[in-house]
Amino acid sequence: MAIPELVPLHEMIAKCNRCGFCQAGCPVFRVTGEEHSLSRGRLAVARGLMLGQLDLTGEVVRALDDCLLCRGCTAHCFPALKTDEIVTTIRHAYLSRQGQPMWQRVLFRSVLADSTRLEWAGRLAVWAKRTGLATLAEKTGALKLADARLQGVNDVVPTLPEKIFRRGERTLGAEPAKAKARIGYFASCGLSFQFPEVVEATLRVLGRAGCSITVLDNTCCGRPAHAYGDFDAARDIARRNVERLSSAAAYDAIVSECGSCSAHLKEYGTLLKDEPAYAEPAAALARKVRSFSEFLVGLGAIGSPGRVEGSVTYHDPCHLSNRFSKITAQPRKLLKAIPGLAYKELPEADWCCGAAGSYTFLHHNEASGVLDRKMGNVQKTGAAILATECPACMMHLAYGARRRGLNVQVRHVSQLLDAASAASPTPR
Amino acid sequence: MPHTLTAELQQIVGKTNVLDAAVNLQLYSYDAYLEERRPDAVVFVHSTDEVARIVRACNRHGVPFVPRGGGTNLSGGTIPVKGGVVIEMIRMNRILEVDLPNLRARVQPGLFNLELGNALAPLGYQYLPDPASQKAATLGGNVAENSGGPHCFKYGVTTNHVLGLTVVLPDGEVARIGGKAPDTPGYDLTGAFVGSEGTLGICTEVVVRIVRLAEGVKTLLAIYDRIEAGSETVSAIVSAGMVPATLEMMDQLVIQAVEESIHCGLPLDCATVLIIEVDGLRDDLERQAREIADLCRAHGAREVRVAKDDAERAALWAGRRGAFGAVARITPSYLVCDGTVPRTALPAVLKKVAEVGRKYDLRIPNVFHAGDGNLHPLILFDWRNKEQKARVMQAGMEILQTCVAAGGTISGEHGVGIEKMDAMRLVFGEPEIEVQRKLKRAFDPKDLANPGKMFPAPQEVRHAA
Amino acid sequence: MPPEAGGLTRRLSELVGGEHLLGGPAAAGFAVDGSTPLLVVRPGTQQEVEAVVAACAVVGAAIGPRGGGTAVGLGNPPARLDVVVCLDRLTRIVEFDPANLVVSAEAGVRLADLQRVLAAEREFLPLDPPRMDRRTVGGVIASNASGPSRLLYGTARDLVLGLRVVLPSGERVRCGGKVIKNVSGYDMNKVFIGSLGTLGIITEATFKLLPAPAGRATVAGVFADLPRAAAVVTRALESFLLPEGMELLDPQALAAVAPGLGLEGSGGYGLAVAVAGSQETVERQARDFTQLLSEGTAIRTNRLGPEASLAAWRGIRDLPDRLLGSEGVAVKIGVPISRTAPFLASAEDLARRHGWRVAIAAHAGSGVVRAVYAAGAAAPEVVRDGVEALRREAEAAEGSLVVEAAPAALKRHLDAWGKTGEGFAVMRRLKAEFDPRGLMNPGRFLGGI
Repeated sequence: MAIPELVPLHEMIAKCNRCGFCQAGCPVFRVTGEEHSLSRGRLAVARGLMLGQLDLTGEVVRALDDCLLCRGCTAHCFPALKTDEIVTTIRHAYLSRQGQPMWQRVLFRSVLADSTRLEWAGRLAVWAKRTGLATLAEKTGALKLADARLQGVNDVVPTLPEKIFRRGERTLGAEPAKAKARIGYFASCGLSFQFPEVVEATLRVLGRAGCSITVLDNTCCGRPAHAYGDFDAARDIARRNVERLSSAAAYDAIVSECGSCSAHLKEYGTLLKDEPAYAEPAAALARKVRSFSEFLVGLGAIGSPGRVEGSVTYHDPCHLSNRFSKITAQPRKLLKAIPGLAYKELPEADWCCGAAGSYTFLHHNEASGVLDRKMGNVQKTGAAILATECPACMMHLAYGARRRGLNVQVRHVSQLLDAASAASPTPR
Repeated sequence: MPHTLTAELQQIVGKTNVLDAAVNLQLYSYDAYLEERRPDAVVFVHSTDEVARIVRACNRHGVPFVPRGGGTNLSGGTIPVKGGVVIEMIRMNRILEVDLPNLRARVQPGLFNLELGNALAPLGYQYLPDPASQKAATLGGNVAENSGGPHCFKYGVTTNHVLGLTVVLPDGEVARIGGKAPDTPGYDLTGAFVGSEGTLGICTEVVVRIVRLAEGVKTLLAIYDRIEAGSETVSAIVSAGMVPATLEMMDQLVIQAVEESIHCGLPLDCATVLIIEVDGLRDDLERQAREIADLCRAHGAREVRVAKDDAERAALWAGRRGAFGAVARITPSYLVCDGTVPRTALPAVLKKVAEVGRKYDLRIPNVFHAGDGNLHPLILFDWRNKEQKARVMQAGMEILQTCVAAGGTISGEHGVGIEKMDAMRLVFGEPEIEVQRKLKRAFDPKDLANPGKMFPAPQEVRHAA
Repeated sequence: MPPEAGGLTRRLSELVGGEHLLGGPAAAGFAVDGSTPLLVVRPGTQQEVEAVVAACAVVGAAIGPRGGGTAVGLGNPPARLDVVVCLDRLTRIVEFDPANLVVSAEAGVRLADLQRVLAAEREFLPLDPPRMDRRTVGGVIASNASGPSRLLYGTARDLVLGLRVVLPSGERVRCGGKVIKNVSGYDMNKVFIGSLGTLGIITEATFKLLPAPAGRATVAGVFADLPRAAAVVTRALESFLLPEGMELLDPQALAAVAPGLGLEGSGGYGLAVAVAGSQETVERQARDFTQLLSEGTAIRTNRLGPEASLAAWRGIRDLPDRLLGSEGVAVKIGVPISRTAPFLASAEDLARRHGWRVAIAAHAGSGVVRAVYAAGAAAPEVVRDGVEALRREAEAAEGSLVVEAAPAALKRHLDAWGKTGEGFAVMRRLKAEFDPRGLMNPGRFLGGI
């Protein structure tokens, strides 16, 4: 019996001719060597479901669990099959029938859907961390009550900042009347809770570039819900953001320095295309979205008055890579224009780092294996600074540096630009 | 499969390295060919010792086994048609030794062919056999199929570059055969093993010849309005005394598919392009390129492009390397034929291939190693259409018959596997098949190593249906 | 069991004609390591070979195939030798397809004759074992003989596309085909190459060819000691240069070929390098090798043009065989490439220790050292111990030592092949599959197969 949710993907699924070339680009497969970790294997599961040879059971869906959704496969697949779409659709079909774990329901449908609740959840996480409760929860195994696979949480996130970045609409930066551009700043969950210093740096850089910035009161972009297959929650979240950001038309751009957020926001039009009331506003919002370096380079804001001494290499977040929103030239352009900074190209720069949002907590061994490959490449460059444009990547790459004892500083591109803005010659 | 065997396998490699859940068995039931058959278990191995113990356990229970690398095999060589245990070698993927003074490397079979090349290039060396699937095919798979690739005309095939092996024999004994030194006394077991499609045992270590990277290379691409003109040019180049490193051709359907997916700047309205590469000492490469360009034009090329640098060279090759996959964009599935004919017979054979396409109402684009006469007609179809699939198998058989009639053979590099078992009788009589059975029996009297492959059904001839 | 000689003689005479059958004293000239056959039969066609072998099989006669007689001394003495089947009348060039660079020739075709036919179309077979004037197609394949140009072109296993073989039953089968890319079934060619007639008799071979090079040259030098010559080889192997052959010569070998190389009167270790290809690359390589030789402190160097090169290399190729004589012991050492010069030195040491004369030529870059010892009046045990010690050294280096020829009396004390290795059980089974009654060259092969 056909699975209705899968029917629109049947032609795609039928096109997998099992050549196995995805082996060349699938980071998880390169760690486990197991066919189920490989896109071809995932397509085989999809094919089995399509033909009714496999049933939509937990065991079958679990075989798809360890997909990074990074499209590393797509780059080597000449029919260019988007394995991530197939995997998330199957997850969606499954949980529509079988329900989802409690923590997912609470997170996607309640917490992420509202910016206030979201902030409180963030503050709670910070508190749990700083009181040692989070560490205790993991050590005692209490954390596994939420999900048995949770592992390595406190290793990957050893600390959280004292203060998160507060959402809430306010305007800063250049005078609106004199500004080169008027932009809305979309706050990412990862950056606001884990790296508020990056947010501060970003706002300073944008301000200095002559922008009048309005911090938006947005909620989560909704990507995590979508990744886990909760398409309904993802659409609900998207609708809420579309409503909240109805003033988007007034801005020259909506900017986010989180690659996953900006890429996902750009898909809002597709996500809500079947909802008459939201289709057009969502598409309009999506058209305004720019990633950080995309925006700066588009503005012509390249080069800095100050210097940053050192060597830098750049890791392409999956969602900014050529497999998704294709923002690869711009970050490099910005980095290469910073005086004093020697740029070195990272081998396999656009290979996933293994964070994949929360993937690293639920598939810690696979994620660590993927990360090891990445850090091996970083080590080859000999660079002192590892730059990127995504909080999950930053978190994971820093973890990778610690694991390896590698003396490399992980920085967001905005932090390097911020450091180069000041007269100080040393990197911050 | 006996329950006790599963327990033994688990004891040897650990429980997590033995897969027997239904979903996993489904995932090891296929390779890049068009059939499926589930194994009874899949075992991940990490050392020669583990492989030997697994094989011994299979022996004790009379259970067949199938070695597997990346499963990119196009003829069904890694499909466990008789069930049994798939022995997955992919984790044995290390380069054990690069021995430059002796021009040798020792590698594990699960290593991707391209990764060996990538490790050698910075040192200034290369491993010559580079099949188009090199980024997804393993050395072990290359050994099993005696893989070819685009450089065979000048540099030979895998067997010319594999000088030694560590083999786990089908009874579980471990034998190191051949090695770094030349002319090992005795029968050339290494040579017999290469291309044996996993039916004589499992190699767990490969000793390969490595050579210096060529001092220089020049790549040209010639565009023709007639397929025959391209293939006639190839003959002319050889007649002029040159041995290009490669001579690759693609026809219009392939070019169009490739352009759509990679955009490497090939014209959509030509009949064929010919990629020519000459390499070696720099001193005569320019002159050779000029002569070749002249010959191309003399035989009707409408345009000849010469790559100016590495980037352009890579671009010219990208199209050819992606050809099979690109064709996959325009069709759910394809059957890759793999016949070889004497080079001068190519134009006539290509005409016949087109006729076969018309006869069975099938689109058949072509990619081929024009230097050595190995052709890859790609028969397009939808695997969900059973009637069409039947026509495809018949067309494939007719193409192979054509190749044999032209003085060629049924498989140039993809192996016999399942796909061409019946076609073996197009080139071999019963006595020829019997001598091959002798070799098989010498290695594997119990027929446990990848059974059900390569040998045609006894006595009567079955046509693929 | 000894064959029923009379019946077999009659039958063979019927098959090939009485004039092509030898027996009695006339057969003595076809002895192998002191074993004289009862009969020597010379079939004229491949079909006759089938019938001859079948007839021998009926009576259980042990067969020793023979080509040009250039490798008769290879291997252990035969356990039994009843009939020598001589392939020298199978001299047809079956098919020469210059456009496709392929030739099929019967087993009795001499390599030199074949090369002349190919040269008429400006092509050649890149196989250059010693004694091309006598060496036959079947023989070079069965003995896996090779020469200096294996460095660039490989050996029989890289050049044979197909074979026709008459099995011990008398049935003739085809292996391989006429095309370079052939993976239809097992690579049965490899089973027969080097099998020394123990699995069947090769009656026809198909080779892949190359266009004849437009130019060639030889650069040769003399060195005061071996390390200096070896150092040049190492530098050459690390470079982009692509010599056709590089031969290291000990002082005796050098003395023998010095006239041909234009180096008469200079004592020392020799290095001869052959280059072939287009005029531009020949010029460049000749220049570069000349420079390498002088940088390597060669006492003297010389360069030869195309004609002189061909003559010189004929001399180099044939050297060990020419020096062999009836009392000589010829060994071939195969070691990893970097050990070529060290084993040339070891081969010298063996001679020095015992006061034997020796001439040694090594295919530098291929790991092959060929030494001919005049062991003179040495006792067999002494020769055996000396050879075994050298062999042990080679085997410790992952290599081998093969006795290619020795006087019959000595042969009895020598193991021609050395250690049987880990695949030997399979080899034994292979022999049993093809020749269950042990009629084909019994006892001559590795491990007494």
